[in-house]
Amino acid sequence: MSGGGEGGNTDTAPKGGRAAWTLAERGEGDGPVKVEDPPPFKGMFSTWKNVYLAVFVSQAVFMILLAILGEVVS
Amino acid sequence: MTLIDWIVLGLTTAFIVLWGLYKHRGSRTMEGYLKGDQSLRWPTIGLSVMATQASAITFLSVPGQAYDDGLRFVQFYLGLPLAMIVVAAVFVPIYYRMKVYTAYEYLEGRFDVRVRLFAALLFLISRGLAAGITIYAPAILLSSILGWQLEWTCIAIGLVVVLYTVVGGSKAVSQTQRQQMMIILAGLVAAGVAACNALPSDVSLGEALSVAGAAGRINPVDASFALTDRYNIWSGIAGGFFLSLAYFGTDQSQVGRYLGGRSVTESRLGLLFNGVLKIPMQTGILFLGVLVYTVYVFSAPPVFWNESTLQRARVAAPAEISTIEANWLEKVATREVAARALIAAEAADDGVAAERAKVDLRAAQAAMGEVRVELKAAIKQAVPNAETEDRDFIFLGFALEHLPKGLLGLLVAVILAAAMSSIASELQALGSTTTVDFHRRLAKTTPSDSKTVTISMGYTIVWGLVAIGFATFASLLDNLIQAVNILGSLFYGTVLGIFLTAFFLKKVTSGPVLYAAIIAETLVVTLYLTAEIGFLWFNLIGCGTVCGLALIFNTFRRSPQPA
Repeated sequence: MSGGGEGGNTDTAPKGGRAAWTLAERGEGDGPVKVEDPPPFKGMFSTWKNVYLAVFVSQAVFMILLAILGEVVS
Repeated sequence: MTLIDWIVLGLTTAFIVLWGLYKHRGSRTMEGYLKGDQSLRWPTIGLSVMATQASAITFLSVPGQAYDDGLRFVQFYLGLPLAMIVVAAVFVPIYYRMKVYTAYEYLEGRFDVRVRLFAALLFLISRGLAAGITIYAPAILLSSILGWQLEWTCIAIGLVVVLYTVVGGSKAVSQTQRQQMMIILAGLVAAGVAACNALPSDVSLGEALSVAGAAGRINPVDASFALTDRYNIWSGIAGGFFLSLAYFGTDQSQVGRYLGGRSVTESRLGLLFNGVLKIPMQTGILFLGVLVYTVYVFSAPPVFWNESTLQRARVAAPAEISTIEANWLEKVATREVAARALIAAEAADDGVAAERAKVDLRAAQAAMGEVRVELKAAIKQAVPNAETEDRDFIFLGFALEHLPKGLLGLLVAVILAAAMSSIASELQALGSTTTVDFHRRLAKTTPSDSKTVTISMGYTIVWGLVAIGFATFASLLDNLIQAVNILGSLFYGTVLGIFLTAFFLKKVTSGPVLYAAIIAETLVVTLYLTAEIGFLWFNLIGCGTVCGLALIFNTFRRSPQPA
């Protein structure tokens, strides 16, 4: 059941077919939708966790370098 | 502008428009028009996401911000990479699994139609107003260069972009943004080179940056904590994270960009591409502003950057303005002397003289600030309806004075490209949200796919006209880049709170979250009107209030009667 006001949908994580009106209307919702594709890299970046970590670390390093530049020239 | 500038501008703009029209052909289904047939690869998504955020405001306003306040504005983006990771990891798979056209569609599945419509309404209000500001920024540029009246320039730009967006749809918007972003990056590099060339021949880039540092312009990290301070590392990480999370995770102008991806992987990589490049790109644009500052340390800057307003004040109060301008030139000369003394002292490795020169430089800088305050008061008195904020005119003033033939045309094309890309995304998102979340959802009979496309075009035109109307009032606002972010911060926290409750607070139902969201939005607007709080914190306050109150209300809600 979906919609219908307060308490109408007390379920938790969304699953395929939840927005019934939309999926039914579009004729979709049958069969699994593949959403957990692995990243297209090899080696240490073959998991999303490591890719996310690399993004985070690269930005942290960039900001540290900027902060050092600020200290040096002022 | 010279003939070469006009040729560069004409060819670049024509290329973008024709490419968009070429790419749009065949997008006549609802799927194709609203989601671009889900055929985009990650470089296109990444550049499209960047181009949507980087509007003309970015290129007009951000260098002016750095000229006046240094690099510290970069802290505003500190939370963005982290937000990109969360959107890629959490939001994207959910949207794909639900096969939604808009982010708000998901909320009906999780809660009910009321929550969906409330979130969509907040988006329409905030983005509709922001689209007006986005149109206003390039209008400043064109009206200055062409000598057109500002209001008519807003209308002309707005109509051109509405036509381009309506004809093109989602695919044209995303595909052309890739070309636009390439042109934007090339233009920025060229403007940076031109700024370096505009330095005096006896001053090296390193020496110029040393002067900028002494004047407090190279200040990318401020670790002091103050709620009233707009840009420090804490507001950047905490407030900036929630602002970015709301913008990229729940704002349809961005969600629409990555929903057009071929797969979850393509969308994720596109977002992470933005997470890696955004801070370096913004730092580069801010550095451009710092370079412009150093150029004007060694050549007299105008006392007020909006030349037409200054001219009106000169006519209304000639003696007073003339005295202030003379005083200004005196202070400018003092600053240059201090800057050259600093360079000489550092070259001679004389630490004591260098420290003395820094003190003199800062004193001259402060004295120049006082003259500007005096001038603004005089302008306000002489021309009561004049706008005295001029930071958005700084980069434009530099470009008109210092860029060589052809490069000015390229820069105008860059700013127009940036304007077109963000306005097109915004209008397309406003049109599709109104169509999918309101019209199609509330209509008694569901329109066919082809009729939905026509309806979406109609709403895009309506929102374009609303944005043009608001653009004509945008001159009343403070610095544009701040105005557009303040506007977003007033609404984003609440919308993000609804989505985070949906994702992570699994027992909360629709009623508690709706009431919590209404209270949170009222609280944020009240705080904005009455309290002195840096605007980035509103994202955290709005989001936290929704999640907290929704949990509390859910605890006390009446249990459903057993059947």
